[in-house]
Amino acid sequence: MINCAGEGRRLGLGSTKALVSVMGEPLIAWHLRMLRHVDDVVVVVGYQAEQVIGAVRALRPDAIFAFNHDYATTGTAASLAKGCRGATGDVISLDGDLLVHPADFDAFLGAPRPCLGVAPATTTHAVHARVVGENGSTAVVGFNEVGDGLEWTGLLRVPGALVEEAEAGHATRGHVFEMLAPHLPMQALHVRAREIDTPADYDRALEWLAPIAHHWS
Amino acid sequence: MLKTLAYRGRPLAPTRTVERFLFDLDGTITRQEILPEIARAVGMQDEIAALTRRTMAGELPFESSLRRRVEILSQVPVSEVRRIVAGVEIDPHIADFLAAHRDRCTIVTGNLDAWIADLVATLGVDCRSSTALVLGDRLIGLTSVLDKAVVAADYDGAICVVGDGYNDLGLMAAADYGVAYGGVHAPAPGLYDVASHAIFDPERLCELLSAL
Repeated sequence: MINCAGEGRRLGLGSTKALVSVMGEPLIAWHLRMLRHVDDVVVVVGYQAEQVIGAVRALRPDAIFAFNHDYATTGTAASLAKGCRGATGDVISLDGDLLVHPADFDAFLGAPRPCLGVAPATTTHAVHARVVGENGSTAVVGFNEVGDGLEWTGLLRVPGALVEEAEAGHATRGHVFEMLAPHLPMQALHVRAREIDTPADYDRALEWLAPIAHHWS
Repeated sequence: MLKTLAYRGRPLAPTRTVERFLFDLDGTITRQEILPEIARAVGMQDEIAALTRRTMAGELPFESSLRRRVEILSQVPVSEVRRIVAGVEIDPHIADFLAAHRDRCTIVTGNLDAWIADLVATLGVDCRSSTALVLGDRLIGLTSVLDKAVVAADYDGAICVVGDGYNDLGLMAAADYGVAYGGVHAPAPGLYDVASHAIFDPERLCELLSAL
Protein backbone atom coordinates (compact mmCIF):
# COMPACT_ATOMS: atom_id res chain seq x y z
CA MET A 1 0.00 0.00 0.00
CA ILE A 2 1.36 3.39 -1.01
CA ASN A 3 -0.06 6.44 0.70
CA CYS A 4 -0.15 9.32 -1.78
CA ALA A 5 -3.09 11.31 -0.39
CA GLY A 6 -1.28 14.31 1.06
CA GLU A 7 -0.77 17.74 -0.42
CA GLY A 8 3.00 17.84 0.06
CA ARG A 9 2.88 21.49 1.08
CA ARG A 10 6.25 21.45 2.83
CA LEU A 11 7.96 20.55 -0.42
CA GLY A 12 6.41 23.63 -1.98
CA LEU A 13 6.24 22.42 -5.58
CA GLY A 14 2.49 22.73 -6.08
CA SER A 15 2.00 19.05 -6.78
CA THR A 16 1.48 16.04 -4.58
CA LYS A 17 4.74 14.31 -3.78
CA ALA A 18 3.88 11.19 -5.76
CA LEU A 19 4.17 13.27 -8.91
CA VAL A 20 7.38 15.08 -8.04
CA SER A 21 10.06 14.41 -10.63
CA VAL A 22 12.91 12.20 -9.42
CA MET A 23 15.61 11.77 -12.03
CA GLY A 24 13.09 12.45 -14.78
CA GLU A 25 10.25 10.27 -13.53
CA PRO A 26 7.43 10.84 -11.05
CA LEU A 27 8.31 9.54 -7.60
CA ILE A 28 5.42 7.06 -7.76
CA ALA A 29 7.08 5.36 -10.75
CA TRP A 30 10.03 4.42 -8.52
CA HIS A 31 7.67 2.79 -6.03
CA LEU A 32 5.85 0.89 -8.74
CA ARG A 33 9.09 -0.44 -10.19
CA MET A 34 10.08 -1.64 -6.73
CA LEU A 35 6.67 -3.33 -6.44
CA ARG A 36 6.61 -4.92 -9.89
CA HIS A 37 6.66 -8.43 -8.37
CA VAL A 38 3.91 -7.60 -5.86
CA ASP A 39 0.47 -8.71 -7.05
CA ASP A 40 -1.71 -6.65 -4.76
CA VAL A 41 -0.91 -2.94 -4.99
CA VAL A 42 -3.21 -0.37 -3.37
CA VAL A 43 -2.58 3.35 -3.76
CA VAL A 44 -4.32 5.77 -1.42
CA VAL A 45 -5.14 9.01 -3.21
CA GLY A 46 -6.55 12.37 -2.17
CA TYR A 47 -4.97 15.60 -3.37
CA GLN A 48 -4.69 15.61 -7.19
CA ALA A 49 -6.24 12.14 -7.20
CA GLU A 50 -7.02 12.12 -10.90
CA GLN A 51 -3.43 12.92 -11.87
CA VAL A 52 -2.02 10.32 -9.49
CA ILE A 53 -4.45 7.70 -10.79
CA GLY A 54 -3.38 8.51 -14.34
CA ALA A 55 0.32 8.20 -13.52
CA VAL A 56 -0.15 4.90 -11.69
CA ARG A 57 -2.46 3.36 -14.29
CA ALA A 58 0.12 3.92 -16.99
CA LEU A 59 2.43 1.53 -15.14
CA ARG A 60 0.06 -0.62 -13.06
CA PRO A 61 -3.40 -0.89 -14.63
CA ASP A 62 -4.26 -3.49 -12.00
CA ALA A 63 -3.70 -1.18 -9.02
CA ILE A 64 -6.59 -0.53 -6.66
CA PHE A 65 -7.08 3.11 -5.65
CA ALA A 66 -8.55 3.96 -2.26
CA PHE A 67 -9.71 7.52 -1.69
CA ASN A 68 -9.04 9.60 1.39
CA HIS A 69 -11.31 12.54 0.60
CA ASP A 70 -10.49 14.13 3.95
CA TYR A 71 -6.76 14.29 3.25
CA ALA A 72 -6.56 17.97 4.17
CA THR A 73 -7.88 17.47 7.68
CA THR A 74 -6.76 13.95 8.62
CA GLY A 75 -3.44 12.39 9.51
CA THR A 76 -1.65 9.48 7.94
CA ALA A 77 -3.58 6.89 9.95
CA ALA A 78 -6.82 7.76 8.17
CA SER A 79 -5.21 7.08 4.81
CA LEU A 80 -3.77 3.80 6.08
CA ALA A 81 -7.25 2.77 7.23
CA LYS A 82 -8.80 3.61 3.86
CA GLY A 83 -6.19 1.54 2.07
CA CYS A 84 -6.57 -1.41 4.43
CA ARG A 85 -10.29 -1.90 3.87
CA GLY A 86 -10.76 -5.36 2.52
CA ALA A 87 -7.21 -6.46 3.36
CA THR A 88 -7.28 -10.10 4.31
CA GLY A 89 -3.70 -10.63 5.50
CA ASP A 90 -0.71 -8.51 6.39
CA VAL A 91 -0.42 -5.05 4.93
CA ILE A 92 2.90 -3.53 3.99
CA SER A 93 2.56 0.22 3.83
CA LEU A 94 4.90 2.97 2.80
CA ASP A 95 4.35 6.67 2.39
CA GLY A 96 4.45 8.01 -1.14
CA ASP A 97 7.34 10.30 -0.24
CA LEU A 98 9.65 7.50 0.91
CA LEU A 99 12.32 5.90 -1.25
CA VAL A 100 13.32 2.50 0.10
CA HIS A 101 16.23 0.46 -1.20
CA PRO A 102 14.57 -2.41 -3.11
CA ALA A 103 16.71 -5.07 -1.44
CA ASP A 104 15.58 -3.86 1.98
CA PHE A 105 11.99 -3.76 0.84
CA ASP A 106 12.31 -7.39 -0.23
CA ALA A 107 13.36 -8.17 3.34
CA PHE A 108 10.11 -6.63 4.47
CA LEU A 109 8.19 -8.83 2.08
CA GLY A 110 9.84 -11.81 3.71
CA ALA A 111 9.39 -10.64 7.30
CA PRO A 112 7.59 -13.27 9.35
CA ARG A 113 5.71 -10.92 11.69
CA PRO A 114 4.71 -7.32 12.25
CA CYS A 115 7.67 -5.02 11.84
CA LEU A 116 8.68 -1.41 11.33
CA GLY A 117 11.37 0.00 9.06
CA VAL A 118 13.92 2.21 10.83
CA ALA A 119 16.88 4.16 9.50
CA PRO A 120 19.43 6.68 10.71
CA ALA A 121 17.56 9.95 11.18
CA THR A 122 18.09 12.25 8.21
CA THR A 123 14.65 13.73 7.64
CA THR A 124 13.85 17.30 8.63
CA HIS A 125 10.63 16.34 10.42
CA ALA A 126 11.59 12.86 11.64
CA VAL A 127 9.47 10.55 13.78
CA HIS A 128 12.23 9.27 16.04
CA ALA A 129 12.18 5.64 17.11
CA ARG A 130 13.64 4.13 20.26
CA VAL A 131 15.03 0.73 19.38
CA VAL A 132 16.33 -1.93 21.80
CA GLY A 133 18.11 -5.24 21.19
CA GLU A 134 20.90 -6.26 18.84
CA ASN A 135 22.13 -8.89 16.37
CA GLY A 136 19.08 -8.94 14.20
CA SER A 137 16.64 -9.07 17.08
CA THR A 138 15.76 -5.45 17.59
CA ALA A 139 12.44 -3.90 18.44
CA VAL A 140 10.89 -0.47 18.36
CA VAL A 141 9.70 0.32 21.89
CA GLY A 142 8.81 4.01 21.56
CA PHE A 143 8.30 6.89 19.16
CA ASN A 144 9.57 10.46 19.26
CA GLU A 145 12.12 9.71 21.97
CA VAL A 146 15.27 11.28 20.56
CA GLY A 147 18.47 9.55 21.58
CA ASP A 148 19.18 6.56 19.39
CA GLY A 149 19.56 8.63 16.24
CA LEU A 150 17.03 6.46 14.43
CA GLU A 151 13.81 7.45 12.76
CA TRP A 152 10.82 5.38 11.82
CA THR A 153 10.63 5.63 8.04
CA GLY A 154 6.89 5.10 7.84
CA LEU A 155 7.45 1.62 6.42
CA LEU A 156 5.40 -0.95 8.29
CA ARG A 157 4.06 -4.47 8.11
CA VAL A 158 1.02 -5.24 10.24
CA PRO A 159 -2.11 -7.36 9.97
CA GLY A 160 -4.81 -5.46 8.12
CA ALA A 161 -7.09 -6.51 10.98
CA LEU A 162 -5.07 -4.39 13.40
CA VAL A 163 -5.77 -1.29 11.35
CA GLU A 164 -9.40 -2.26 10.92
CA GLU A 165 -9.79 -2.55 14.68
CA ALA A 166 -8.02 0.75 15.24
CA GLU A 167 -10.44 2.41 12.85
CA ALA A 168 -13.41 0.85 14.62
CA GLY A 169 -12.00 2.23 17.89
CA HIS A 170 -11.48 5.70 16.42
CA ALA A 171 -7.71 5.35 16.79
CA THR A 172 -7.01 6.40 13.19
CA ARG A 173 -7.67 10.11 13.60
CA GLY A 174 -4.03 11.10 13.95
CA HIS A 175 -0.75 9.75 12.71
CA VAL A 176 0.15 6.13 12.14
CA PHE A 177 2.85 6.16 14.82
CA GLU A 178 0.23 7.24 17.36
CA MET A 179 -2.02 4.42 16.23
CA LEU A 180 0.83 1.91 16.53
CA ALA A 181 2.12 3.06 19.93
CA PRO A 182 -0.22 0.78 21.97
CA HIS A 183 1.00 -2.21 19.93
CA LEU A 184 4.71 -1.75 20.67
CA PRO A 185 7.15 -3.39 20.93
CA MET A 186 7.36 -4.38 17.28
CA GLN A 187 10.28 -5.88 15.44
CA ALA A 188 12.58 -3.26 13.90
CA LEU A 189 14.10 -3.84 10.49
CA HIS A 190 16.89 -1.50 9.44
CA VAL A 191 16.39 -0.18 5.94
CA ARG A 192 18.20 2.18 3.64
CA ALA A 193 15.67 4.87 2.83
CA ARG A 194 15.16 8.58 2.23
CA GLU A 195 12.00 10.56 2.83
CA ILE A 196 11.23 13.60 0.72
CA ASP A 197 9.38 16.08 2.87
CA THR A 198 11.14 19.41 2.33
CA PRO A 199 13.33 20.89 -0.42
CA ALA A 200 16.39 19.95 1.67
CA ASP A 201 15.14 16.34 1.92
CA TYR A 202 14.62 16.30 -1.84
CA ASP A 203 18.22 17.36 -2.49
CA ARG A 204 19.56 14.79 -0.01
CA ALA A 205 17.40 12.04 -1.55
CA LEU A 206 18.65 12.75 -5.07
CA GLU A 207 22.25 12.71 -3.87
CA TRP A 208 21.64 9.39 -2.09
CA LEU A 209 19.79 7.88 -5.03
CA ALA A 210 22.09 8.77 -7.90
CA PRO A 211 24.77 6.07 -7.34
CA ILE A 212 22.27 3.31 -6.46
CA ALA A 213 19.41 4.09 -8.88
CA HIS A 214 20.15 0.94 -10.90
CA HIS A 215 18.68 -1.17 -8.08
CA TRP A 216 15.23 0.05 -9.10
CA SER A 217 15.60 -0.98 -12.73
CA MET B 1 -23.08 -9.69 8.19
CA LEU B 2 -20.21 -9.59 10.68
CA LYS B 3 -16.72 -10.92 10.44
CA THR B 4 -14.48 -11.63 13.40
CA LEU B 5 -10.84 -10.61 13.27
CA ALA B 6 -7.91 -11.82 15.30
CA TYR B 7 -4.48 -10.46 16.11
CA ARG B 8 -1.79 -12.03 18.30
CA GLY B 9 -4.20 -14.77 19.23
CA ARG B 10 -6.88 -12.53 20.65
CA PRO B 11 -10.14 -11.72 18.93
CA LEU B 12 -10.60 -8.25 17.55
CA ALA B 13 -13.89 -6.42 17.44
CA PRO B 14 -16.18 -7.71 14.72
CA THR B 15 -16.64 -5.28 11.87
CA ARG B 16 -19.53 -4.94 9.52
CA THR B 17 -19.21 -6.24 6.00
CA VAL B 18 -21.21 -5.51 2.91
CA GLU B 19 -24.70 -6.96 2.86
CA ARG B 20 -25.65 -5.85 -0.64
CA PHE B 21 -23.63 -5.25 -3.79
CA LEU B 22 -25.37 -2.98 -6.29
CA PHE B 23 -23.99 -3.27 -9.82
CA ASP B 24 -24.48 -1.01 -12.77
CA LEU B 25 -25.13 -3.09 -15.89
CA ASP B 26 -23.98 -1.26 -19.04
CA GLY B 27 -20.20 -1.03 -19.31
CA THR B 28 -19.78 -2.58 -15.85
CA ILE B 29 -21.18 -6.11 -16.00
CA THR B 30 -21.26 -5.90 -19.78
CA ARG B 31 -18.15 -5.03 -21.74
CA GLN B 32 -20.12 -2.76 -24.03
CA GLU B 33 -22.81 -0.15 -23.52
CA ILE B 34 -26.00 -1.95 -24.50
CA LEU B 35 -28.02 0.82 -26.17
CA PRO B 36 -25.25 1.69 -28.66
CA GLU B 37 -25.04 -2.01 -29.49
CA ILE B 38 -28.75 -2.06 -30.30
CA ALA B 39 -28.35 1.13 -32.31
CA ARG B 40 -25.42 -0.28 -34.26
CA ALA B 41 -27.41 -3.33 -35.22
CA VAL B 42 -30.13 -1.15 -36.73
CA GLY B 43 -27.94 1.61 -38.19
CA MET B 44 -28.72 4.38 -35.70
CA GLN B 45 -25.42 4.36 -33.90
CA ASP B 46 -24.32 7.96 -34.39
CA GLU B 47 -27.24 9.63 -32.69
CA ILE B 48 -27.41 7.07 -29.89
CA ALA B 49 -23.64 7.18 -29.34
CA ALA B 50 -23.71 10.96 -29.00
CA LEU B 51 -26.59 10.83 -26.52
CA THR B 52 -24.93 8.06 -24.53
CA ARG B 53 -21.60 9.87 -24.40
CA ARG B 54 -23.17 13.10 -23.19
CA THR B 55 -25.26 11.25 -20.61
CA MET B 56 -22.26 9.34 -19.25
CA ALA B 57 -20.43 12.62 -18.86
CA GLY B 58 -23.32 14.17 -16.97
CA GLU B 59 -24.09 16.73 -19.66
CA LEU B 60 -27.65 15.49 -20.20
CA PRO B 61 -30.14 14.46 -17.50
CA PHE B 62 -30.36 10.69 -17.56
CA GLU B 63 -34.14 10.55 -17.69
CA SER B 64 -34.60 12.84 -20.67
CA SER B 65 -31.70 11.19 -22.46
CA LEU B 66 -33.14 7.73 -21.86
CA ARG B 67 -36.56 8.82 -23.08
CA ARG B 68 -35.01 10.16 -26.27
CA ARG B 69 -32.90 7.04 -26.83
CA VAL B 70 -35.84 4.71 -26.19
CA GLU B 71 -37.96 6.74 -28.59
CA ILE B 72 -35.36 6.24 -31.28
CA LEU B 73 -34.90 2.54 -30.60
CA SER B 74 -38.55 1.68 -29.94
CA GLN B 75 -39.04 1.06 -33.65
CA VAL B 76 -36.91 -2.06 -33.28
CA PRO B 77 -38.97 -5.16 -32.40
CA VAL B 78 -38.43 -6.23 -28.78
CA SER B 79 -37.47 -9.74 -29.86
CA GLU B 80 -34.74 -8.27 -32.07
CA VAL B 81 -33.42 -6.13 -29.20
CA ARG B 82 -33.32 -9.15 -26.93
CA ARG B 83 -31.42 -11.08 -29.58
CA ILE B 84 -28.87 -8.27 -29.80
CA VAL B 85 -28.60 -7.97 -26.01
CA ALA B 86 -27.99 -11.72 -25.79
CA GLY B 87 -24.87 -11.19 -27.89
CA VAL B 88 -23.40 -8.47 -25.66
CA GLU B 89 -20.22 -9.62 -24.00
CA ILE B 90 -20.36 -10.17 -20.23
CA ASP B 91 -17.25 -9.73 -18.12
CA PRO B 92 -16.46 -13.29 -16.97
CA HIS B 93 -14.92 -12.25 -13.63
CA ILE B 94 -17.95 -10.20 -12.66
CA ALA B 95 -20.30 -12.92 -13.87
CA ASP B 96 -18.47 -15.39 -11.62
CA PHE B 97 -18.74 -12.98 -8.68
CA LEU B 98 -22.47 -12.59 -9.26
CA ALA B 99 -22.91 -16.35 -9.43
CA ALA B 100 -20.95 -16.87 -6.21
CA HIS B 101 -22.77 -14.14 -4.28
CA ARG B 102 -26.22 -14.34 -5.84
CA ASP B 103 -28.11 -13.56 -2.65
CA ARG B 104 -26.06 -10.40 -1.99
CA CYS B 105 -26.07 -8.88 -5.47
CA THR B 106 -28.56 -6.68 -7.31
CA ILE B 107 -28.27 -5.12 -10.74
CA VAL B 108 -29.35 -1.47 -10.68
CA THR B 109 -29.77 -0.13 -14.18
CA GLY B 110 -31.62 2.56 -16.06
CA ASN B 111 -32.02 0.11 -18.91
CA LEU B 112 -35.46 -1.35 -19.72
CA ASP B 113 -36.85 -4.53 -18.20
CA ALA B 114 -38.30 -5.56 -21.55
CA TRP B 115 -34.90 -5.42 -23.23
CA ILE B 116 -32.67 -6.98 -20.59
CA ALA B 117 -34.94 -9.62 -19.05
CA ASP B 118 -33.15 -12.54 -20.72
CA LEU B 119 -29.72 -11.19 -19.84
CA VAL B 120 -30.72 -10.70 -16.21
CA ALA B 121 -32.15 -14.22 -16.10
CA THR B 122 -28.86 -15.57 -17.43
CA LEU B 123 -26.93 -13.71 -14.70
CA GLY B 124 -29.35 -15.06 -12.11
CA VAL B 125 -29.50 -12.08 -9.77
CA ASP B 126 -32.12 -9.60 -8.63
CA CYS B 127 -32.54 -6.52 -10.84
CA ARG B 128 -33.91 -3.01 -10.46
CA SER B 129 -34.49 -1.27 -13.78
CA SER B 130 -36.59 1.18 -15.72
CA THR B 131 -39.80 -0.32 -17.05
CA ALA B 132 -41.63 -0.17 -20.35
CA LEU B 133 -44.96 -1.18 -21.79
CA VAL B 134 -44.75 -3.78 -24.53
CA LEU B 135 -47.61 -4.86 -26.76
CA GLY B 136 -46.94 -7.85 -28.92
CA ASP B 137 -43.38 -7.35 -30.17
CA ARG B 138 -43.50 -3.54 -29.97
CA LEU B 139 -42.28 -1.24 -27.23
CA ILE B 140 -45.03 1.30 -26.70
CA GLY B 141 -43.25 3.56 -24.23
CA LEU B 142 -41.55 4.00 -20.86
CA THR B 143 -43.65 3.43 -17.77
CA SER B 144 -40.93 4.34 -15.25
CA VAL B 145 -37.35 5.56 -15.27
CA LEU B 146 -35.29 4.25 -12.39
CA ASP B 147 -33.75 6.92 -10.19
CA LYS B 148 -30.76 4.95 -8.97
CA ALA B 149 -30.11 7.30 -6.07
CA VAL B 150 -33.30 6.29 -4.24
CA VAL B 151 -32.43 2.57 -4.33
CA ALA B 152 -29.95 2.90 -1.43
CA ALA B 153 -32.79 3.61 0.99
CA ASP B 154 -34.23 0.15 0.35
CA TYR B 155 -31.35 -1.62 2.10
CA ASP B 156 -30.67 -1.60 5.84
CA GLY B 157 -27.18 -3.06 5.86
CA ALA B 158 -23.91 -1.82 4.42
CA ILE B 159 -24.01 -1.48 0.64
CA CYS B 160 -21.34 -1.36 -2.02
CA VAL B 161 -22.03 0.25 -5.37
CA VAL B 162 -20.05 -0.53 -8.53
CA GLY B 163 -20.58 1.74 -11.51
CA ASP B 164 -19.03 3.87 -14.19
CA GLY B 165 -21.59 6.50 -15.21
CA TYR B 166 -22.80 9.82 -13.98
CA ASN B 167 -26.18 8.29 -13.14
CA ASP B 168 -24.39 6.10 -10.55
CA LEU B 169 -23.18 9.14 -8.64
CA GLY B 170 -26.15 9.65 -6.31
CA LEU B 171 -26.30 5.98 -5.38
CA MET B 172 -22.55 5.83 -4.89
CA ALA B 173 -22.63 8.88 -2.65
CA ALA B 174 -25.15 7.13 -0.40
CA ALA B 175 -23.20 3.87 -0.24
CA ASP B 176 -20.79 2.59 2.40
CA TYR B 177 -18.42 1.59 -0.39
CA GLY B 178 -18.45 2.97 -3.90
CA VAL B 179 -16.22 1.66 -6.66
CA ALA B 180 -15.71 3.97 -9.63
CA TYR B 181 -15.08 1.24 -12.17
CA GLY B 182 -13.21 1.79 -15.38
CA GLY B 183 -13.24 -1.64 -16.97
CA VAL B 184 -14.53 -0.40 -20.33
CA HIS B 185 -13.88 3.34 -20.23
CA ALA B 186 -12.79 5.87 -17.63
CA PRO B 187 -15.37 6.49 -14.89
CA ALA B 188 -17.56 9.57 -15.42
CA PRO B 189 -16.34 12.88 -14.05
CA GLY B 190 -17.51 13.36 -10.50
CA LEU B 191 -17.47 9.71 -9.47
CA TYR B 192 -14.01 10.10 -7.94
CA ASP B 193 -15.47 12.73 -5.60
CA VAL B 194 -17.83 10.25 -3.94
CA ALA B 195 -16.16 6.87 -4.48
CA SER B 196 -14.24 4.95 -1.84
CA HIS B 197 -12.25 3.16 -4.53
CA ALA B 198 -11.35 3.35 -8.19
CA ILE B 199 -10.51 0.14 -10.03
CA PHE B 200 -9.83 -0.56 -13.71
CA ASP B 201 -9.21 -4.31 -13.71
CA PRO B 202 -12.16 -6.72 -13.37
CA GLU B 203 -10.18 -9.40 -11.57
CA ARG B 204 -8.92 -6.92 -8.99
CA LEU B 205 -12.42 -5.52 -8.63
CA CYS B 206 -13.76 -8.94 -7.72
CA GLU B 207 -10.87 -9.60 -5.33
CA LEU B 208 -11.73 -6.46 -3.40
CA LEU B 209 -15.47 -7.13 -3.43
CA SER B 210 -14.91 -10.66 -2.17
CA ALA B 211 -13.06 -9.25 0.83
CA LEU B 212 -15.69 -6.68 1.80
